[in-house]
Amino acid sequence: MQIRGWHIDGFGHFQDVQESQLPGGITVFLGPNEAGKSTLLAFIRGMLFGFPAGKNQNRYVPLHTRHMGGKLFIETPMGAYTIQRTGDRKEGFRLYRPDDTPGSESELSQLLGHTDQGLFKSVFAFSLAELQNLNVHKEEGIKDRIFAGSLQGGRNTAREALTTLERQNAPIFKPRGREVELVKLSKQLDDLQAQIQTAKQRAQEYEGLRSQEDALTETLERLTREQAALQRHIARHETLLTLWPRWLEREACLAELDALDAVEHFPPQAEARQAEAVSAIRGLESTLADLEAEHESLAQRLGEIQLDPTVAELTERISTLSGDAQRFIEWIQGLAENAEQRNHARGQLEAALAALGKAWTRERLKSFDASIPQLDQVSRWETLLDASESAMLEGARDVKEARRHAETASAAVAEQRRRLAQGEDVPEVAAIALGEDRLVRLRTNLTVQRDLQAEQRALDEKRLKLEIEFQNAPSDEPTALPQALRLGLRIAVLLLLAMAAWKGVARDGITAGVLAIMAIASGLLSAVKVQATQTDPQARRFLTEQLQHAKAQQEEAQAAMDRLLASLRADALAAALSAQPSAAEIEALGQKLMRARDLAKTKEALQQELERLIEQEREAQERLAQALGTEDSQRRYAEEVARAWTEWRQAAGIEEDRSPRGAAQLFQALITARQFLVALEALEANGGALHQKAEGFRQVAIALLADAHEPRPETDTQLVQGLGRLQERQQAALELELEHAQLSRASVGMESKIAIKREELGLAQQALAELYAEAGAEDEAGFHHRRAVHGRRQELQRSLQDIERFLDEQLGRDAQAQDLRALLGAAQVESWKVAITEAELSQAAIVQQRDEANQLLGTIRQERERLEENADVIACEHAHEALRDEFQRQSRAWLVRALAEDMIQEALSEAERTRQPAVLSHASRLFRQVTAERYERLVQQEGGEFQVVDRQATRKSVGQLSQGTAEQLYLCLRLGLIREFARQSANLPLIMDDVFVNFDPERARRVAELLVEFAAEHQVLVFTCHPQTAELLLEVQPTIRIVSMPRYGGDSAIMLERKVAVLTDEAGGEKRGAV
Amino acid sequence: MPFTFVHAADLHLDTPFHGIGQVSERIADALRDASLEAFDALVDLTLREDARFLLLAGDLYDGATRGIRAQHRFLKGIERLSARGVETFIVHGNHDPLSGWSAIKAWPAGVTVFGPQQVESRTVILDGQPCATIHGISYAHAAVTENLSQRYRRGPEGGIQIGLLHANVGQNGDHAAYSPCTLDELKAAGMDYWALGHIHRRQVLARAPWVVYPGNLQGRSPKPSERGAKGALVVTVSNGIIQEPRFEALDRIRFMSLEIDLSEMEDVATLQRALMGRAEELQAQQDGRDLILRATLRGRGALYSELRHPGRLDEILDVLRQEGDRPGGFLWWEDLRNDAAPPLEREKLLLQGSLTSELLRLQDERSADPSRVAQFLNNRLDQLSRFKSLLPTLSEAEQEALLREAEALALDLLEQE
Repeated sequence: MQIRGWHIDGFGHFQDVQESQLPGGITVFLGPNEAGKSTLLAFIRGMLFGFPAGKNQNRYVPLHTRHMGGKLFIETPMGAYTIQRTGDRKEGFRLYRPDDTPGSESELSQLLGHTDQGLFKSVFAFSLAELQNLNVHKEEGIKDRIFAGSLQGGRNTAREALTTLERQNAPIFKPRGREVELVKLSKQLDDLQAQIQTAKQRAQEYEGLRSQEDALTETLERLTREQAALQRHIARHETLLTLWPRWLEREACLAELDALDAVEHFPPQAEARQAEAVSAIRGLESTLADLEAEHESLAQRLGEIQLDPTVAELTERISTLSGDAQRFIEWIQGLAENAEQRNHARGQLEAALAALGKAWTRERLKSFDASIPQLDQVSRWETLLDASESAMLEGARDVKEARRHAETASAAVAEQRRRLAQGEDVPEVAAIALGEDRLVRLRTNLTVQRDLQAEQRALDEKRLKLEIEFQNAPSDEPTALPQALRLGLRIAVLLLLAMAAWKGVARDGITAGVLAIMAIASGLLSAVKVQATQTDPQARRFLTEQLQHAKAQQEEAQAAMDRLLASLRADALAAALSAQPSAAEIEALGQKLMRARDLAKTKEALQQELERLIEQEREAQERLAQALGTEDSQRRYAEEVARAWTEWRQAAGIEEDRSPRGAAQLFQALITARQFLVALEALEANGGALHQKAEGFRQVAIALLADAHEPRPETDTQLVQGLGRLQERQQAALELELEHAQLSRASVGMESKIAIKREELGLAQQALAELYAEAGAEDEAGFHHRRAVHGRRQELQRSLQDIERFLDEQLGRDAQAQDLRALLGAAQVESWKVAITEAELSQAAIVQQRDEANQLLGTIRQERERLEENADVIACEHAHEALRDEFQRQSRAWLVRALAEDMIQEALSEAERTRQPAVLSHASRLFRQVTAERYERLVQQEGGEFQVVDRQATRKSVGQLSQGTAEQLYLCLRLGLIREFARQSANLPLIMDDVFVNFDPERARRVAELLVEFAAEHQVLVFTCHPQTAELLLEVQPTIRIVSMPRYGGDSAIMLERKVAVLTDEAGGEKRGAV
Repeated sequence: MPFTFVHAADLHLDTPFHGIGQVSERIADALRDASLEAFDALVDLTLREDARFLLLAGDLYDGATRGIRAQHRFLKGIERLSARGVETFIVHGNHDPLSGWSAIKAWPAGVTVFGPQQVESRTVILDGQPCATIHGISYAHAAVTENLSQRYRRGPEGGIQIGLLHANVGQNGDHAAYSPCTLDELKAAGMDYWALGHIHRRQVLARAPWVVYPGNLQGRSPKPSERGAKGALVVTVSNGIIQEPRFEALDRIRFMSLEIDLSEMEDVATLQRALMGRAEELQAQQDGRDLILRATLRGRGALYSELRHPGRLDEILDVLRQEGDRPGGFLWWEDLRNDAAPPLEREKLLLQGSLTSELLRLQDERSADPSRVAQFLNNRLDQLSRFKSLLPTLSEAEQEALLREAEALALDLLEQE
């Protein structure tokens, strides 16, 4: 790869700096301090590997522009690439391939043989300060890239591969790592193993649990047996204690039976029967007393009752009048209301008659026909009269409106006629049309004339050319015309053409003139050459024919022109123009015709408007006449309707001053008055009837009161009150009579009941006496004593039977029962209780033992069953297996990566071992050359340190060498490394910044020679501020290129170059430095 | 009178699974109970088939210590058989020799556990007539290297004669050589049916007489011999003729493997879909059983490099496991192995004169010398020496495989984009 040049947009003090012609060999960049050599070196490094970030970038921020970066042009075996970068590290990179397609950074890395910035700075592009800063053995880039060679098509270096493997393996396992995955897993496995052991130990308790379970089961069975025996003992004595009270009852029953009288028989249900008989006797005695008292009371009341004989006789009449008394009151009240209503109705009627007029009386009101058909007829008259009047008024309005329209139309016609009369004179339309046709012909002819003129000019040119050719053509009659005559003709033609040219200029502008002048020139030329021209008879004949044809065409064109001019002239004269009218004249004619056409159109529009207005006027007059006719017929019709109405009104008896609407109102008032009259008559009839009824009732009532010895009433109110009193007297008499009858009937029934009860009492007393005799008693006391003795004996006998049955049930009838009966007979109750207490104590102790054993057995059984179902061991074993699998998987993965790492490391070591000697050998040769064989060779110690061996085989370390010699050694080493890198990967340029400073002239020259030799295969860029370095290199290799760099980048920071030829021609470094 | 018996072996009750790695709690519970549930299924099968007796040919338990849970569950099952009049005949093998501890104090009626001293014989009566005589002997201790088959002799009893034995017939290399014997030696004993145990892969070694391994009852690891359906054999005897044993799958969790060709795959998503599709297809054929799957990627394709990225296979495995650990029957991806060939041409790399070439050349030199391979490996294995008890012993083949894998990884890192 070679750097062909660059374009710096902005970098440090460089701005818009261009270099594009760097050669392949050595190029020296010569400039004083602060010329920008280091900046340029940084630019090249930055372009290849990216600009520095952060503070380092600030160092190269452009001083004159905001755009940091630029382009670097490189040449590779694949072609020319362009690298473009800006200050933006992420987005600012571009790579353009030879075909201008974009490339990637990895592609650039490949072009650079995967060199990184560190390696490039160490080996390929270095300053004096960096010259000694090279550790070949420890520099990983040198190992990877130079000794190990490039990688085929890959993107990772061996170092990156190793880093990846180490990074992946580090969390899994490190020999002294404590928190690594394998150690963690191992610890977890140990924990699980311990859990398994614990679980298994628990399982070993199973046997012991089983033995304990068996022993406890046996104990439980024994305790159960003992407890059962005790339970039986307690039950026996508890039985005795339970039976003892009954036994005592049995003994008491037997004793009482012995003591009681022997009443073996007693009548059945004697007690109930005796009680029933006593109760019946007492009931009868009580009833008899009540009846006798009641009979006495009835007799007393009958003696007290006094009856009214007068009322009894008038009962029927009193009842009849009492029923009508309420109606009598209503009649009296109705008469009062009727009088009031009649007064009101009479007032209404009189008011209605007064409103109709004095002529209207009750009789006329009754006789007048105010029926509904009559009223409808009045309505129809009203409608008819209103319609005829409205029609008449509408006809008058129509006449007025039609008259106004007719007047307006007449005024408009007069106005339009006035406007038409005021307009200017306008030619006839036919004349305008003729003039327009003529104008069209004139314009067409003028255009055709121009075309004919052009055609004529073309024919003229054609003929001129043919004339010239004819003059130049060889003559088949060499002696037909003397040379002098032909010359004269030609001159004449030329003169003619000259005139034509003048005419052409005058008539048709410059083009014809130019053509004519060309013809003159051609003619003159032909005239000059005519003597020397050879003739050709055949061509001349052809030209003659062509010439004749051209002449004929010219004549035709001229004839057409003549015809055209004649037509033009005729039309011009007709249009009052000049005989040869110009285009302006024709256009003026066109304007005139156009105005005439506009005027004609205006006049025609006015005329049409007048006609329209006249038509409107005629129509208005017609409508006026029609309206007048209509108005007349409507008036006649209205008069006829009014006359008919008058006749009908008179026939109906309606006053003259009443219109149909007035007649209708009269009808309405008559109907109302009639309604009042009917109402009054109805009230008068009702009042008469009420008065008649009331009077009749009053007469009958007064007679009745007199018969009942009541005072005579003075008013209707007293009459009604008298009737009320009479009605009360009648009610009281009726009630006394009813009570007397009822008491008489009750007294008779009472006497009968008293007789019956006395007989029943005698029978009951007899039955009681018979019962006592049957019970063996003489009276009630004896009866009750014998009944009590008999009942007690029976009760005791039943108790004895119950006790015996109970004892049999509890004890049975076997021998043991006999024993128990004997024990009961012995009556040792206290000893039984002692026996029970003792047995219960023993039993409690056994129960406690059994409960404890049961509880223990349950616990043991539960524990055994838990062990039987326990999955702790298998669960832990599963977990252990799973974890061990994980451990093995991880350890295997670690092992694979570790082995891969070892393989790469092994290959790297092998590559270093086999390739490093070649580099050292080459560097040794160069160093021997530089030191003029002062030193024979270079050797590398185990730790990587270098030593030099001189001619006496004495070894020296680098530290023992002078600074200049050491720098020469490192330069030689780099040349060797670059050569090896080029062989392995990519041929990159060598860039040095003032590394000659510490070299003496002799060594410097040898180094220069080495570089020239090196530059045959590698590009070398030398930055220096020492002109002598440039001179030295020039002396060794005169064809090298020197690029001079002014201080601070110069005014425009443009670098100038100077060829060696210039340098050698001009003497002195002053001039070189000043370039 | 025809009758049926069931032949099973290698129950390895309540023993851990191997080589599965860490699983979810739900799956761990299923794994823990799988062997016991398989045994319950064996009892159910025996009852369902109305078998006259059940033969168990050793290794009922996995170790001499015999877990209590396993023994208890076993006893419960045997009690169920006994209650239905089904006899059980048991010999113990190398994993559960008679010297081991027994939590079972008394067997229910109809159970015969053959002793270790000599071959014992028991005759089964059917309808008053002997229908079969079973000869058996248990291992007294784990490592029985004697050829026990030589002690078996046909008896005079009527019915068929069955030899019940835990043995390695024909020196099967995958299993320990306990009670080693040959097929001819078995044939010479005059049995009609050799009910064998010890080899976990089901196989019929001979048909006249029948020499049969039923295989184990429940697969226990992803090893080839543990994969596929596991269960017991149902044998019908009709007119004294033993019919072809019928296999009945009883395993609760099944180990399977599948291979996927990467050649046509373009991306990881396609691969995942293909894997899930194949797995579901496979599971649908296993009667709804839970599956533990190992997938191996084969072929040569562009996806190879993508899968070589560190952690990429683990990511895919995580996704597959999450999808497979679903309610109902689970599908656990035990491993996803990338055995696909890299697209790189090794021969070309060897000749290109780069660091890679150097690496391959050195590796080739080393592979030619096993001692150098061992030394190269030991440099690293020594660093892991503190974990020696946890690491497997590597065979030569495994050592080679490790180096091949390491080489592929190095090539990936150096050469792949």
